[in-house]
Amino acid sequence: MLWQQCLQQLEQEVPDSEINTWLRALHAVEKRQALYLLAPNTIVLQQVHEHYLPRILFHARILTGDNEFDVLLQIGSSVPAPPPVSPQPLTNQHQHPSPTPPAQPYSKAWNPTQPAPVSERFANALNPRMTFANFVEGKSNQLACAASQQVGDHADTTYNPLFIYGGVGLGKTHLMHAIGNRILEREPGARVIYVYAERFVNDMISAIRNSRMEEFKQHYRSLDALLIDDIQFFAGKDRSMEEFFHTFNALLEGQKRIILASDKFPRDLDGIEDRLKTRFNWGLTVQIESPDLETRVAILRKKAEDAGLRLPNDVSFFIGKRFHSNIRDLEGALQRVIASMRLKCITQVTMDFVQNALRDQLASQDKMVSMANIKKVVAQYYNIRITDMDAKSRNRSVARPRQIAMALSKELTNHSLPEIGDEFGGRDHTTVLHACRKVAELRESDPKLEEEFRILFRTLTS
Amino acid sequence: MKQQLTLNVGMREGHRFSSFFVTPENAELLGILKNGFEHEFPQIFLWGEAQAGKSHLLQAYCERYYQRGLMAAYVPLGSCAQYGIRVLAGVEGKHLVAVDELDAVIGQRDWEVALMNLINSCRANHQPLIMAARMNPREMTCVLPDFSSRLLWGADYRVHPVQGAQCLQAMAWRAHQRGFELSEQVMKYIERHYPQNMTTLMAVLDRLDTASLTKGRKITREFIREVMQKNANALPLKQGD
Repeated sequence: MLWQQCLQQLEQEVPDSEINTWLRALHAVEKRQALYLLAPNTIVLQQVHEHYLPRILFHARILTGDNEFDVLLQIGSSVPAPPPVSPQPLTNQHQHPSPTPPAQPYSKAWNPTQPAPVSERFANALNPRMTFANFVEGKSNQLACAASQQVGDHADTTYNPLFIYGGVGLGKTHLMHAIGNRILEREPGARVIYVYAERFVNDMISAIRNSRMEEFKQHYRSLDALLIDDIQFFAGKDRSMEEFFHTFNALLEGQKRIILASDKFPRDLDGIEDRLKTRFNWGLTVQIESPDLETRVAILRKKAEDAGLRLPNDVSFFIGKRFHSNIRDLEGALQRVIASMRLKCITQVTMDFVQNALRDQLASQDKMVSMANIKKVVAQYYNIRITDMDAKSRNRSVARPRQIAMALSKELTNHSLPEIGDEFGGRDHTTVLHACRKVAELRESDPKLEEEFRILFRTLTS
Repeated sequence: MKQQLTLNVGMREGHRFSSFFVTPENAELLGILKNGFEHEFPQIFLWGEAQAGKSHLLQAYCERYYQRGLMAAYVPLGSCAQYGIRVLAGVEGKHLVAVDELDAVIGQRDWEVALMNLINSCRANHQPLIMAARMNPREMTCVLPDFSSRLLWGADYRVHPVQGAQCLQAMAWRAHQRGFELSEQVMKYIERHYPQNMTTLMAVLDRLDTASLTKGRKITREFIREVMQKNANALPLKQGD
């Protein structure tokens, strides 16, 4: 209460943005003859100490009428955990079918600063909503999904470690959580942990700092299944890699399951020790590729159904075609449409409505994947001149990049074949059609071209 | 005659939804925010030109939490980036996290890793996260693709700037909020002499407000001419004026 009164006084003297950045960050605890202000970190503490403490003290003494009253600044937080339900809307005109489930904070997998009871220490950080049941399978992730189910179902799997790799936002994390959840479903007492590599590193640093390294080692080496996401973040962190190497060996020797995910094939991971890369390949390595249009549409329909919405065919294909870079973007587009419908109390979704709800995103995409930009990016990649894209030359070194640029234009823009032909030096639409077919054929037969196409696709869409 | 001293207390409008001028382009976003974005998305990303009102909206959102006795961390990276990633320490203990001016750190690996961890942590703990930047997240040249794709986890909205004729409407609305009205004659004078952008018009309004309070006079066309002649160097007139 006293702190709120102090803040009201300070609001007359200090700009809003400073109040919000530094002073509102403090948690106040009032005790006899003193106000304790707890700062979340040393930076906030320093700023408050240097710039605002004398004014806080002045107001606190005036308000309490006690010249001996003290204000003490320290690092810490006694803020209670986030409440189970977020603040109620200011206006209550829309009754939502509870889009946000009650918050259930995940327990920490490892707390290096405070000893925790064993039961809590093995809290797994798994998201129970990410299961195989709500993972949409398609051509792009079929193998990864089948292998994940196999690992989740069988403790004695030969796919150990299971290494899942692929671009960002394609479902690797979902599969990892699904594996963890399946293991717990079949073996409720199993000690399973899902952790980001960066988190593993930070926990290890804290454990070293707090002289609790033995406990840290024991913790990770006694698991039944270890799932580490974004393993590429181990790069260059030698001590963490060393510790992970021993953890990996211990778990493998004990026939415990290890599931790893990364953005690259093990061999291509920069800054990771060779002995680790070799071990990553001991089990099974599977790739998740960008979902094709049909899979994207299936994902959309599943998500829409979960939200109680039926998407017409034209709408789901439109969103699926336009939001193709990753599933996060695709989901984001759908969530925006749903939010807009709820706000406007609309129950039937139409193309016009979707185009209006997503107009800013679509405009931004059009800017990124214009045919002019595709020509520029492809020309730069193959080290040819942009003018070569429009030239008559049929030389392979120029013709192949041109065909790829045409195929990308067909895939990424809404332009018709004649429009694409016009853009590429006034060519006929049959030439564009031939280019698209040729590239599709080469992508199947030539892994190098397939890789180049993917890189260009990612560059243009991420 | 002695001049009346003005108190800054009267000028304080605060960062609240009620002090944000809502154009039709931003109406949907305002609706989502006022209803609580966390009912729809785990996180929300606001983007748009400088002066569009992104910082205002982020702080207004924090204010919602303060009003309920909850804690929010507001981190404007434009001014806080200089302290390094340690400035983010402890924010996960708050009920809401608001990270403003993301452009200031995009392209710096240590910042992108720190922010990616923050996004992961907020998501795991069901902690609402609101972020803002000038650039559309799809067009940001991030070093880490993992971070870049996480910016789109939830929804992104453009904050449209107040433009053209809307600027004059916004100025009249703001004057009304401060407790005085601008007559049609005064508005016509301003329209004729000053460029229609919010920065200039708000500066004009501030001068008029202060001068009117100091001199204890009503704002008329004559008064504005007088005040603006004195401030001719500080406030750019329309070209050709």
